[in-house]
Amino acid sequence: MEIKERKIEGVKEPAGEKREPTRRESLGLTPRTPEEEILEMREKVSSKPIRGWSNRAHFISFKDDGDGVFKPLLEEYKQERAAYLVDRFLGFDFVPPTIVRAIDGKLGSIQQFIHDASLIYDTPERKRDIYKADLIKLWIFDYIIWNMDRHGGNFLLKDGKILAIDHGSAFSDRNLFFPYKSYPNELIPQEIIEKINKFLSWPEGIKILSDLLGELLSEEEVKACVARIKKLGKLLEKGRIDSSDKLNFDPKLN
Amino acid sequence: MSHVDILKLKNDGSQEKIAVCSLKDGMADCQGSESLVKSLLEEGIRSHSGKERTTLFPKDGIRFLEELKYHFDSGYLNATDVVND
Repeated sequence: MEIKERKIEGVKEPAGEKREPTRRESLGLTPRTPEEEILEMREKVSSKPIRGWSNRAHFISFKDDGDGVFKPLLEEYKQERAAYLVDRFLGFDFVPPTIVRAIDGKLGSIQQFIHDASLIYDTPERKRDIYKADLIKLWIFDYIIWNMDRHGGNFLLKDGKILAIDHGSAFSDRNLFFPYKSYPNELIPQEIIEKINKFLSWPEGIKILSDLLGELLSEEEVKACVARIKKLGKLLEKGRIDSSDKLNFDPKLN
Repeated sequence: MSHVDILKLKNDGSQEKIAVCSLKDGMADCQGSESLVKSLLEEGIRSHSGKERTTLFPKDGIRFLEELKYHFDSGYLNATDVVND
């Protein structure tokens, strides 16, 4: 996957909000997608709290179209953004665009809201086979980001594809990895293996991703994430992961 | 009676109640979306805290109800805190 790096002349401030440029922005190198720019730059026109146990998240509508889910949640917004970056660099392409931004004085993550998405609960079990390849990809992705909280309520379905959301519990320092489903001994789709190998053969990409993650996570967490990708590269030489136990390894804890 | 609402986020930012879990005779009784309720009954939810996260089921009663809000908090699917009627 190619990440286009663009020089940005100055930092455009989102309407009504100010933030300090990141280190990479100061260097004039920030690989932003158009969707990320929309989330980052568009003026907020409305904000509705999403009712839940603490009304922590908000449904944000932007000027000139576009909606997002805003989570000003302690430090969790960093994990949300980090998971999106890993997804982008690997080319898995199933985490909706996610940026960090201040809204009404609170710093948090904003993720593009996916309209007309359904949940796995909306799909009869006998019809869930079409998602198997994506669920395998989700299993592998969750290992890479060391996600300790994946279940049917935090991924979406749309147009025959899975979209992974809610990564506030990723990059955990706890020895807990909880995928939605595991696929030991199943043939891993070639597309996934190729994407991982392509990333691993791109030293500049590894460096850029590590730098970007370093703005969000500890050095230890970044190194562990890269180590997990490398471990997967080795495991997938056989085309399958013969035991779920092999994905319990977290180099940070060893 | 204590209960928890499980809410789904709609396209316009409003939320729709798709299930309710109520405490009855010490156990949680969940009603609503058939597939979601089946998942809660068969797969349960993982506890939020503790060194080893245990799996809780509706039979675990108030503990199950209390954990629902941590389990469903993606924004698209959220559980309220326990409401005591």
